[in-house]
Amino acid sequence: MKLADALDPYSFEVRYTLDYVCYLVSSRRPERVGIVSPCSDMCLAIMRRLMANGCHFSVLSPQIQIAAREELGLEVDVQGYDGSDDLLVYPFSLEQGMPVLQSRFMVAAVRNSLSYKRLLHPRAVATNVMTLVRSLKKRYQISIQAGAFHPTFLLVYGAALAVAGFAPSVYFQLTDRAMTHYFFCRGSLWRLSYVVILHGERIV
Amino acid sequence: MVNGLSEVAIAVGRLDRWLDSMRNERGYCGPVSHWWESNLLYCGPMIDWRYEGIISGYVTLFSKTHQLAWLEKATRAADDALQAQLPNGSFLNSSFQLGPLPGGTPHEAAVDVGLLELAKTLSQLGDRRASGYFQAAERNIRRYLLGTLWNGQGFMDQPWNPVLVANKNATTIEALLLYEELGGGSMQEFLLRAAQVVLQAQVKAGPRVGATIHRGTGNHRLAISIYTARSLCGLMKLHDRYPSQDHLKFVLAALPFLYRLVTDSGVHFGMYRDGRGIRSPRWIAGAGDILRALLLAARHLPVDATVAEQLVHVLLTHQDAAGGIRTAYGFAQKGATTDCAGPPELRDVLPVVGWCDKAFRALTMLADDVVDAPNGESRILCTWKGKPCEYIETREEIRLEADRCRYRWVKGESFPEVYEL
Repeated sequence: MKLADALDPYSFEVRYTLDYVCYLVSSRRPERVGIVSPCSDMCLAIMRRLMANGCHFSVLSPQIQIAAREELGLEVDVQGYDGSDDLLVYPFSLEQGMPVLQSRFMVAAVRNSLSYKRLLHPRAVATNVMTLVRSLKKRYQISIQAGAFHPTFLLVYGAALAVAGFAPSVYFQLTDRAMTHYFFCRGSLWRLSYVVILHGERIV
Repeated sequence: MVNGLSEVAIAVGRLDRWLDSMRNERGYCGPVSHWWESNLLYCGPMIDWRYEGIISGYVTLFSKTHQLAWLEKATRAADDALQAQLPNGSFLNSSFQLGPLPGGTPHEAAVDVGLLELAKTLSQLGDRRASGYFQAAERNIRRYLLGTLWNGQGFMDQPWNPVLVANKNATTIEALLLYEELGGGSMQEFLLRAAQVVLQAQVKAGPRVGATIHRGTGNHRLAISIYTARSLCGLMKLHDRYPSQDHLKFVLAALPFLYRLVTDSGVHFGMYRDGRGIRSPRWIAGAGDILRALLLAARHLPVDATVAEQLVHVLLTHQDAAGGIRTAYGFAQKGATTDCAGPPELRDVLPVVGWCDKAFRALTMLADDVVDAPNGESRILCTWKGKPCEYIETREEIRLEADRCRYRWVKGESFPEVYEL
């Protein structure tokens, strides 16, 4: 499966999000990481970030297993749904209906319907993150780690775009400010962020 | 051409030790600051243009001192690239500031330059390892540069982005020249067309005369100092093999443009379309590429030695106690047409392997020897988001302290341990 254009792994929304997701994964130092996504590009993007850690990966399908071998020279397992992975990563895949599998830890990036994107593309983003979190809390102790593309970021970034044609100096200063100051938020603004990054630890 | 060569020898020795501190078993690591974007999250090994300066620098040190230790460091670096070469000839994680993505430009061509310079030296020594490095570069050149990026007119920015960027074509020229020299077959057709891409990007009149336009910047049409210098280097190397008055005219026009941007505290980023200077940030470690451009140009043309001295001064005075050279000054006011003021920002003081390699390569061109000098601990007052912080670097880690630890990267790890920026 290829990514929808909104989830191009080269786009900065996906790159920055995956960097943050993999930072959270890395902080747990897992030996086995399961990547729960039907999208081979997304799985390879996660592997590229984590393969230097020496952890072992599992994926959902033989097709992704072959892609890992052919494109990265990496041998990975196909998931057995047996809870053997220390940590499962859901890179924009819970919204695609991927099941929540057994693992001690989980890290997910989710696109949120309560964001500006829903206004621009009403059918593009369907996940209500609040509902999702409530559902996950039955099995995991969930902590929201960051929101990306929240209203403050969009205001500053939008202002930059508005002046780009006639005031390049202001454009570059504002875009830099948007990216360094406001890209990720860790406060309550995550509720209105386009992308929400969350971490879960299984309730024993 | 340049005074203070013993200081250069010390600086090179300290840079070598610093580079060692940034390695793990898979390659050179560390966070990245850049104009386009910065990546302070993914810090793992990347096979990008850092390998150009590192391998070339060590090869140069070997050729000057005949000490095998430098050749071994060059081969160790080249082995990182071989280990990370993908089945399609590309290199794993070659996109520098974009993070861990393959297919970075001009990064992959730059890695080829490093590999081929090493292969050339090993070949001259009759060392059998030469063929392995040559073949790795050949796989990349044949499958990626010629097989994917070549569009008949020049080398594209990316397979999906047909823009022909001058400095990227110039780096590819350097790689193809070495490939041709080492028996890869005639590259003349590609070289001369790529040269046209570079020549056509030069501004012919007005306040930016001599500058190279970065066509990847769309309507902004930015003229960028470092990329003008890298364009110049490609044409100077080409001129050695395929002499042309056009190449010399390009260089003669580019040099005064570069001179205007060099200051005692760094090199201005570049110029906007209307001729206003982009004075923030000023490049520091990357100024090594401008110094290299002057040194290459000096083989054929008169070059202002005081500017070269100024650039050496910039590099030496911004080498911090831990041995790395700062990236820039003025990131907090990125894009400003006025000089920045106040303390540096985190992205300024951060030494980045993919910038320090440029300082390393240029300084090795000047150094006749290397002084093995120890590094210490850097403690620099700086800012992040306008707030005062302290940047701390040792051989083992990089930290940013404010009210608490905001950032901590243990050298060699793929991600920081603390990221609260």
